[in-house]
Amino acid sequence: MRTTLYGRVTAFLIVTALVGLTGCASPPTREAMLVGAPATKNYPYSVSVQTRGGTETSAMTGANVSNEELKAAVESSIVASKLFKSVVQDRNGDYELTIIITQLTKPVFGASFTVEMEAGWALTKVSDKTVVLRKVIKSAHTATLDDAIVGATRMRLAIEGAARKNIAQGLQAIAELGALEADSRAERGPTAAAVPGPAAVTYPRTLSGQDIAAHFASYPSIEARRGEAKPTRQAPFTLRIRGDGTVERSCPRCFTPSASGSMVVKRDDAQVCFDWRRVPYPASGCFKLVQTSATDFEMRGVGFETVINYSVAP
Amino acid sequence: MPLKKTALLLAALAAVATTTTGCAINRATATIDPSVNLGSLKAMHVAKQPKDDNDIDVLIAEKLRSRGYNVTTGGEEPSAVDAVVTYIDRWRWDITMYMLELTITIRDPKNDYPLASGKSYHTSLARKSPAEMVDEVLGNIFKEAGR
Repeated sequence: MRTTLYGRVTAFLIVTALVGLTGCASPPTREAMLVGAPATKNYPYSVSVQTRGGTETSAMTGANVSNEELKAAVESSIVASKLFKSVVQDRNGDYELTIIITQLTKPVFGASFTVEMEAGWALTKVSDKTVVLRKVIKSAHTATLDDAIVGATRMRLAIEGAARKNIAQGLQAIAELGALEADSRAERGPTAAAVPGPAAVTYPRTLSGQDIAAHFASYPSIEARRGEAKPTRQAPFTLRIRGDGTVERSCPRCFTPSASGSMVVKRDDAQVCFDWRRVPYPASGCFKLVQTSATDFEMRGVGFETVINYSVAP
Repeated sequence: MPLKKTALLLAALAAVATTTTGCAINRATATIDPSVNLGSLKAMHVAKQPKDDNDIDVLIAEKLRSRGYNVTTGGEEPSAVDAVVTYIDRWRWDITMYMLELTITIRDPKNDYPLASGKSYHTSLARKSPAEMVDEVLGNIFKEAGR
């Protein structure tokens, strides 16, 4: 009896240690750090991106943000947000964006992992070396046991979230630059300056297939509010999008609180399609994704009248 | 039977300890904002970390003075400095306490923007004294700056 108990306790401790402590460190990916939300400005300039201060992921030091992945994520985010006209390599653009990671603070142990990231963002006009932006951006993201039970995965998600928020804040800081907008107006001339620039984002805006993929990569956890077309089923639910094409739905007020299914983004049709197993809510099928404000989105059913509303952090 | 399992468990733990903490890792990096000229800075203030009981700020200040800077240190920042130096020291225990990692950042006093940053990481078997860590980090920063 004592032996059996001893064996069970030992096995439990080993499994707990394996799940909570070890696991191979997996590197944060550029896709998961991508910011897909459109920028509030579109500058008619090209930009090159340099990243420094990053560290490669290794078994000994754990997950880290590498320069290469951060650079790719920032470049993809600029393209997806249309903040600049184009992204070029080798400092051949109108502007040069330099991002220096100075801190990536990671917890050693815990159920919830909060990662804090600090990076210096500098934007320089290449023609005359004018520094138009120098800003320190601090961000933090917490990944919980709900996000991943394996510690290494939870750490990666926390790092990716912190990096994604850092990129979002950095791009927003650039979008708010008065100097760049004034330059842009001056280059378009007095006539162009009098009319709104093509950069202004108007709502509602139907997202393209590429935008949909980038959007869900940026927001893997969504608090959805209701399905408009079925007033009897308006329970709020949390939609979690996994990287492997599977999705989970958590709906505490539903008859079946937890459900899973699959998700496919049909890029050519600009639709996202869900197939839920064993639950009718939210409806399985394909949706158009419509942005109704800077932070509000609607998934509108294609061929059926369901609408799912949700908001994202700016 | 429990004795045999205990022996097996200890053997497994020993294997893990050997493979995960037994090797030496040395990593030292520095990054500089390309638009920054550290040579143009004259006066710096080393902001003491509230939890620093090892006077790392004093070591940093001494090393910067030896490079020709006017340096103050302590909790309160003087009004007229060209840069503020911050640091984060991480310690671990392995027979004795040692400094695992030191990050030093030279910042713009107006907005905390990191003008330059350096980091050294040495595990137990390759441990260095705090003075050596400070010397290595600042050395790498100024080497990167080409000064």
